[in-house]
Amino acid sequence: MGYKIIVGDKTYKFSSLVDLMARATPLRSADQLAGIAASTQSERVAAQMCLADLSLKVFLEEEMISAKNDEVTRLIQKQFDAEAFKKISHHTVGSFREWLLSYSTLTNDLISIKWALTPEMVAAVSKIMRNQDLIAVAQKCEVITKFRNTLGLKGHIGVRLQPNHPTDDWKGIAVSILDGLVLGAGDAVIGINPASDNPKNVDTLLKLIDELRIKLEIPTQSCILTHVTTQIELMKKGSPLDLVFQSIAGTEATNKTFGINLAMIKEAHEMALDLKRGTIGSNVMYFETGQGSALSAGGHHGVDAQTCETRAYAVAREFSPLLVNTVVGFIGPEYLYDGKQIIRAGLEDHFCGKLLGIPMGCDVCYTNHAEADQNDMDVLLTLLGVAGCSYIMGVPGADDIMLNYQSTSFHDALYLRSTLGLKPAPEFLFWLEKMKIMDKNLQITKKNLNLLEHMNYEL
Amino acid sequence: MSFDKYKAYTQARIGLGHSGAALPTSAWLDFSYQHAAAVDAIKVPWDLEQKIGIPTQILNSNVRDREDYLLRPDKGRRLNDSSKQILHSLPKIETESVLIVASNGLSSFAVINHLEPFLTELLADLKKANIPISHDQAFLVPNARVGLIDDIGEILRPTIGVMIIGERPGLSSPDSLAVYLTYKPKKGLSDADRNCISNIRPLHGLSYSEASFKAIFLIRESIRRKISGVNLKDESHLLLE
Repeated sequence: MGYKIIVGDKTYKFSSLVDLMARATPLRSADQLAGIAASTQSERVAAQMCLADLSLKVFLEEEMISAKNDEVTRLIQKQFDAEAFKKISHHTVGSFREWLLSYSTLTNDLISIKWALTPEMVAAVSKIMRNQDLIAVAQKCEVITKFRNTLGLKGHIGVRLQPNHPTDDWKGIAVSILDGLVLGAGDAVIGINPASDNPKNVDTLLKLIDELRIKLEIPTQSCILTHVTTQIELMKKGSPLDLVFQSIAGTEATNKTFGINLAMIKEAHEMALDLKRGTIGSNVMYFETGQGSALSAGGHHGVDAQTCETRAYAVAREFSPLLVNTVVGFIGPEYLYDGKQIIRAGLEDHFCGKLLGIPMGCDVCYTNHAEADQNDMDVLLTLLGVAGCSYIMGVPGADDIMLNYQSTSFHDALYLRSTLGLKPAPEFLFWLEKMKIMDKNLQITKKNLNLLEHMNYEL
Repeated sequence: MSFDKYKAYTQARIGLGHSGAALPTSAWLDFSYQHAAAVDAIKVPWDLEQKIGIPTQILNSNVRDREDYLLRPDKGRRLNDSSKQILHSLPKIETESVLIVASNGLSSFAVINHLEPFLTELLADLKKANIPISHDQAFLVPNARVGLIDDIGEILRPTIGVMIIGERPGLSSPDSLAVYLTYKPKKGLSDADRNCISNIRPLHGLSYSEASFKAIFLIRESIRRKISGVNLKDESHLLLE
């Protein structure tokens, strides 16, 4: 079905919902690479105007990716709550934006419609929102999850401690973990991207973190970010696995290139629940996503990168994750060219994830071949702090020596905490104060190296 | 008591100290300088006259220049027409073989510094394992993406395709090399069908011999089980126990 809009003396036509959504998307190199972006800036804004006039019901009538060929579309249809949708069914995309932003729409209103929203509706409204809109609405959302601590509370931000090492050398990883802990990081998770996914190696790393966590009585959880099949194998063998990780995408075809499907994630989810390792909650999954992955894998079906990304959140929310984050600038300049595009995408992903009810964090990051630097990251980091982002990454000195990209550092998290007054997870903050690492003002104390003495870490 | 004694265990930027929440000045400027150097390094071209200890054949992707390479990964995955002609003119090989392809990828420094010594180890290990090299030569393709091996495989039909490629440069690792293995590379495969050995750079990453050891393990297993990718795990450590 086609769409058109007349603006002034010009008529703009769009061949389908897929075409309209792509052309309404704020500029990014991924959609240009796919050959689906608006050809002029005027066409882009005209598409946004056309999209603003569409009823939300259109998204229930016109499939962007056919359910016949895609299990993610089928999942989205299964999740849809028709009863809850009645509350918002009268809206166009444009009036829905205004409803989201109105003073009278509060946290509980947003929670009450999360299953009435499909990812495509959420992606659509995000396309006609400017950056401050994405921040203002996301700030109203609250998604609380628990395992050994409580994440996502308003006024809090978590940090994933990411102590990667290029050869998974356990001493190298251990000292990076200690560095993060004495700088107050690690409440979201201590999560390692292993260089090798060989099961014995992954098991060794799991045991390393587990021993450290138990010895220091740290109220947090661990994760080794390897393929879900490896983690299933390790759970069967009794490895101390807290959270199951998997990279996910918004189409079946893309997930297939990741070597996964929904059944596989379900199996891992149930196994991890059975382990009952969480002390105060049972959110046991950790997912990562990122715009451009579907295009990169040739699994996008002509749909724009941001809509594909938002569909991945339907996959995520099916499994009640503890953590989900977009790895926004990791993929490279062919998908998000520069700081401006990375910042926009980070805000979109955070907003869309929160509205769909997932505990959205963000790996605020860039690669050396993108037109971006630490200043761009400071901007996105600060905006996400204001927007109420669930957690960010903490990498020693912001330099990941295994994955070869720049993320945010332990120091960046401290900056956010002290300038915006954002606290770590309450249980973790209690531990930080007990260990004399952080004081009441969320500042690192001068006594913080006591942890090293306490550990007397023999390497 | 400080972090100094721990710094030997990792190149990660630990024990930097802090002023308020911020980095000390020298740590910040040091980071900034290394980022600047990495940005500059991306632009360095690859000298294809480089000797690598085995005859070479130069092929080209559809990429126009370095900027085009960064923005158009689709072009970097496709062999250009004249290169396809070259491959079609080569004799067909019906027996088991390993195809060796190398590209600068995102880091010319990686191939300049590590390709020759790594290949020396790998070729010696392949010889020991009695696994022949497809056409007794390596194919050098500047500005290629990993998936380009499928275009070459489509024509030469090797049992295993090995792509040796420069990885995206990190601040502390501007010259890291990676190896991707694909069982019977051909059109239509994806990254889930490949195995990767990354961070090949002695001193701080994998040594040449460790990387070659892993590669030989994966090549043998791939030939034996007729698969590569997520269902083929790197269990080379078991051989050491």
